Amino acid sequence: MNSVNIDQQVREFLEEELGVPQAEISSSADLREDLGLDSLDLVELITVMEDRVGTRIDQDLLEDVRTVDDVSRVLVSIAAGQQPRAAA
Amino acid sequence: MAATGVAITGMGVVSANGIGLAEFHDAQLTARSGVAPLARYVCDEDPVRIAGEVELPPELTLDRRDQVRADRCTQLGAAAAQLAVADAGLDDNGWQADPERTGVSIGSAIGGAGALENNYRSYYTSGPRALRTRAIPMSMVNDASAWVAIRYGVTGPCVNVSTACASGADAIIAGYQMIVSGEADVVLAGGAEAPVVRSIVSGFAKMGALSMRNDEPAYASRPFSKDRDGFVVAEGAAVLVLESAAHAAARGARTYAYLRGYGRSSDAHHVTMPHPQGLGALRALRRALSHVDATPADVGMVNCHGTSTVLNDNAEALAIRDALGTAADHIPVTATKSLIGHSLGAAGAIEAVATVQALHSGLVPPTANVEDLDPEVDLDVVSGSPRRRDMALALSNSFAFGGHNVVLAFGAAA
Repeated sequence: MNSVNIDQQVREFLEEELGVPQAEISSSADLREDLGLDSLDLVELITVMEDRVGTRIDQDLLEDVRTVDDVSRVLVSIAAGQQPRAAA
Repeated sequence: MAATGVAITGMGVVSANGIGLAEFHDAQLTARSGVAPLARYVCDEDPVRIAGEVELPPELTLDRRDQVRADRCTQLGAAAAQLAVADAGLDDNGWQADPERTGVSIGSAIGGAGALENNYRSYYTSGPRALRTRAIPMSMVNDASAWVAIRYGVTGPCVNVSTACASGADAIIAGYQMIVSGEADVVLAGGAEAPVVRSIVSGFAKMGALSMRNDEPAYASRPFSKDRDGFVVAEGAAVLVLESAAHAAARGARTYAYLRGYGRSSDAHHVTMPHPQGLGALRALRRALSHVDATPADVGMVNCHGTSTVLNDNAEALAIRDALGTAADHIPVTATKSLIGHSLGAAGAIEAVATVQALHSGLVPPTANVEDLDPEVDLDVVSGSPRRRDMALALSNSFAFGGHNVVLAFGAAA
């Protein structure tokens, strides 16, 4: 799965499974503040994405995740077998 | 308050034969059925292929983000609450009551059964990780109550009552008690149910409780008819705004009617079969009359539980005849379920709305499909067209699996 695919899957999941309007899903959108996700939605998003990239994500990697782009970046790094750079 | 009871200052209903008070009332008076071929899931090979399903208009439909967080039961309850709040003018220019003294009491028999079925399917096919994170909250039987409290920010007592097919009526009593005890000024009370779920419909079918008139849906629910063969599963919700008479008067609210009191009992007989002589129902009817200090002659009408099952309708007819005696010769009775089927935990609330509408309008709606009245039913069952009658008191029956018997006693507004 390449980075474009992962980013696309994150966006599709937000829209189709969590009901977030497509127009609101920008790279910089804050998952909680802008998209209205709560802790249950975030667990949903992360567990489904973990299954898709085929590995578990360490909790400490998720602590700085705020935006749609942050989620994609963490997943892409893990899929590539690399340590993700710190979230901006 | 004891003399008049609790004011009903707003109502909202979403049912298979009507959305909102005007459409629902018109459907009753013209005997328009909401029972139709079942569309919610593929049922081609199933023994029961009819149901009472609700079509929510866009203005009563939650946005997508909330839809994926709420089972249909909650979505229907939310729609009924939205209509009731608007009807009572409760949210005009801010909440028209102390939010801390506003309660919620929405009953449901099975809550988020659809969500539960979906999650069990995922669990059994793919294991625990496949469960959605909202598997539990979406399945909770109290989710509709919780959703309504969160939506309106009301922080008084918030409860759910689950007594099978009496849930809606029992939830209304819970709301009445909050007000009479001084715990709340206003309560959003009613019932919500979304049982058009394959495992639920199939479960009732397995019991032999459902009508098999798949080819003539509108004629399938036939309470008190000699050839009735079971009930029709329906979804729906209704919410009533209950308000202390003093609070209603202080804000100049319109009052449709009063919930004056109630009677309850348990059959303590069998989990699904009513007592064959209707003794439990009889006790509830007598207690309701006693609670509101009325005699049988004071009763203007009875909205029956009337499910269209052989056992319920005969036992209920015996109970009503025993409770009302010779006065029953001239007391019209009707059965809302003839038009929408049986919405389980919502039924008591939907029928409360129908009963209040009858009191308010002076029109007892007809029972559909009783061209051939069961000779065992010694009651004045209204059929064909509405019966005009000025009424001071109207009863609404709910008798549930588990032997829960509830009779609500509504009094006309002055």
